[in-house]
Amino acid sequence: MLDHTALAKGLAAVCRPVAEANGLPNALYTSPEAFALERERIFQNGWACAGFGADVPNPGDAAPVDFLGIPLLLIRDLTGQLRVFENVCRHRGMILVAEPKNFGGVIRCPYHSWCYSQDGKLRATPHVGGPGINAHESIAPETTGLTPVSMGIYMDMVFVNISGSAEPFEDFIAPLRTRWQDFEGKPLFRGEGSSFMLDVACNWKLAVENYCESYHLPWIHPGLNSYSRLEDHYHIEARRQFSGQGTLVYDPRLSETQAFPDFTDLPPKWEKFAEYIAIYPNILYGVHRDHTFAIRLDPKAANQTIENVEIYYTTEDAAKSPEYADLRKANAALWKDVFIEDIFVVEGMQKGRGAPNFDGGRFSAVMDSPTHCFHDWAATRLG
Amino acid sequence: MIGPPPALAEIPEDMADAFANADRNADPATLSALHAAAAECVETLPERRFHLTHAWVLAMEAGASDKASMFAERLIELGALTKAYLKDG
Repeated sequence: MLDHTALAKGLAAVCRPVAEANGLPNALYTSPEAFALERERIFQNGWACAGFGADVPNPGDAAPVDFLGIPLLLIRDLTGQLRVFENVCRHRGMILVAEPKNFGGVIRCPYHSWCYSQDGKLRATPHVGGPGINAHESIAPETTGLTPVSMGIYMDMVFVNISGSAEPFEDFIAPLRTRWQDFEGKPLFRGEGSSFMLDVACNWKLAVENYCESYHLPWIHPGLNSYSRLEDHYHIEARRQFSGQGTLVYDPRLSETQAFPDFTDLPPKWEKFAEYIAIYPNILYGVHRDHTFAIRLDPKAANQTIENVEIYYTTEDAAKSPEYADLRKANAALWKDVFIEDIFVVEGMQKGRGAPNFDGGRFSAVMDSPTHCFHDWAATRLG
Repeated sequence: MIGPPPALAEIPEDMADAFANADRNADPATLSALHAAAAECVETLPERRFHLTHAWVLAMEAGASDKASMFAERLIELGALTKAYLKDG
């Protein structure tokens, strides 16, 4: 049983100034009840990423998503507009779309064949009034369409708010949009052969925490640290919004002879800067002058998280052409190696949460403030 | 939904065989055409409604809007559908 009194006490300790604070209590990493609480208060009541626009690139494309047990459907309609619905028929609750598919026409439920157009409208209820009778006064098609989910898109990430009670999406994303205004409106192209997935035995928050801070870089990523040292990094903190780290010395060295094209019209600072921000709760995003990446965390259980990684390039050519295939492969391998290097620490911290006397940990007031920023946000959402 | 219709005896043998062997994941345009043909063979109103219903639904699934509209209009004429289900209804 989750001890709510102890949890409240632990959360209060998190919200102190970083030098005095403790980290989030163990139960939030190990307890199925706490996981259920987060599912409701963080993932349903606020904005969270459910997928990518690139998952449904063409008109008529539909992709089912299991969003912490909630069946969602991403669909790009025939006009190109992306929508999100609950992936269930309004009749008997059957899953409508079981696997990614392109629909040239309506979406037909595989059970009794109720049909929906790609904008969610109910278009057919065969035999609903008896054999061969396809209407009944008890079913009003205009009010029995698919259930839409509040959504917003930023840098190809599809955010959803299941409860519909969060602030408007534009308010949610505005602080990050402002920070990364240099990238605003720049086209992004998902790299071919650049998607991969990591199944990690840790709570989703540990992946966020590890991503936020540069403190661990010299110890866990010695390769990265050889050209991007600890002192070359800076903290990024927007209280109760996002946090992360930046580097002052971005210098891709994938090939002696070839480089990815940069985004056009970037201010000179991005020649050397790159930033890595955790967009709470479940996106870990990196921006560079020549590519970006997104890690979408998909929490499966208190102690299991799937990391879905996508890499984006600045032109279609860089993202898809054979000319860049080797470079894309090298870049994906580089990031995959880095992310794999992190696995043993996040899984180690997960095991550490089994220690009954671990008190959430003490922070370095200098090096851990982006992580504390995340803990403070989580504690506020859960308190 | 796609299984044998109520009056197989009234439709040609090859069509009956096609229904009997129909796969529920088969091409909806092909199945729609099969039901449309069957609707012309059967003699009773319930049977015609049945086949037109399937021809209509499967044509919509196939994205054959013109055909779907035609079947919908016939279903409305036969008292089997209301205009509320039409695209602009």
